[in-house]
Amino acid sequence: MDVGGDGFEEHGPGCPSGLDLALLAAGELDQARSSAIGAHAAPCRRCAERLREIEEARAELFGKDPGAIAAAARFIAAELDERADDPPIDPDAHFGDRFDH
Amino acid sequence: MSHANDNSLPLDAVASAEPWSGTAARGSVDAAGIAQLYEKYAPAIYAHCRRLLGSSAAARDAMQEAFVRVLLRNRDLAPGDEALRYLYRTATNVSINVLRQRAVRDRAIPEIAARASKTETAEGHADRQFVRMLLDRVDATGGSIAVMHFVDGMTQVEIAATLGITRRTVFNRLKQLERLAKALLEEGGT
Repeated sequence: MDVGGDGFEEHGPGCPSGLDLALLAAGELDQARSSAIGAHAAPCRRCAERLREIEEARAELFGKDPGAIAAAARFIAAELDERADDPPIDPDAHFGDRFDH
Repeated sequence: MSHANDNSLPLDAVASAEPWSGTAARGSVDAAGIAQLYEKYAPAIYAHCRRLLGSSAAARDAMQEAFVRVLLRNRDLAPGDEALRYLYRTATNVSINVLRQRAVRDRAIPEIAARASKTETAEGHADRQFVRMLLDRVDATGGSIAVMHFVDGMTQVEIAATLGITRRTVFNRLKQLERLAKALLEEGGT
C-alpha cells in the first residue's frame, strides 16, 4: 500500500473506477466520457475484465429464464410491500437487522 | 449503449401481472418501473457485489437488498446515472455489512500474510480477506473508504463526492487505514 506525498497511489493508474465502468455498461455516460473510458478499457486487462464480469452477470441474471426480470421485480415489490410500514432503512447505513448472513 | 434483453418480458405485462394491487393502488410500488431499473442496472450491481463478496449467492442477496433499500426511500426512482450511483453506493454498504459479519464469524489472521505477499494491485480473494480485516477495525466511514479505494479503485475525489465528505478527509482516512494495515501486517507476521 504505497502512500506518498499528498496523494495515494490510485487503483490502476489511469483506470476508471468500478462505478465508471458500471455507468459505461449501463449506457449512462455521455458520449465523450463513454468514448474515453471505452478506449481505455479495450486494451486494459483490469477494465476489460470488469466489463466482462458485468456481461457475465447480465447473462447469468437474464440469459436463461425469460421471466427472470419480471420475477425479480415481483420479489422486490413484495419486499417493498412487506416493509411498507416499517421504519425506513437508510440506504447508506452499514448495519441493519434485516440483512443477516 | 443499449443492452436490451430479448428474454425480458414487456414491462406492461409485468405490471399487469402484479399480485399486490393494494400496494400499487397506494402508488407506492410500480412494478414496471422496478423491472426497468432492474433490467438496466442489476448486472452492474450484481457484478459489483460478487466482486466484493466472492459469492454468487451472497451477491444476489446483496443486490436485491440494495434495490429494496433504495426503493423504500424513493419509490419513484427513475433510471439515470444518479439512480445507478445510488444503487451502487447502497450495494457497497450492504456488502460491507456482509463482509463485517463474515469477519466476525471467521477471523483469519493468516490471510494477512497472504496479503502481505501481494502487491498493491492485488485483486480478488486476497483483497476481500484483507478488507475484511480492516472492516473489523474501522468505523462505517472508514470501511466504505477502504472498499471504495482498495477494492473498487475509486479515486479520492470520487470517494469524497460519493460519501459527501471532503477529499482531505478521504486522504486523512486513507492515511489512518495505511497505518492500520501496517499494524495488521505486523500482527499477522508474529
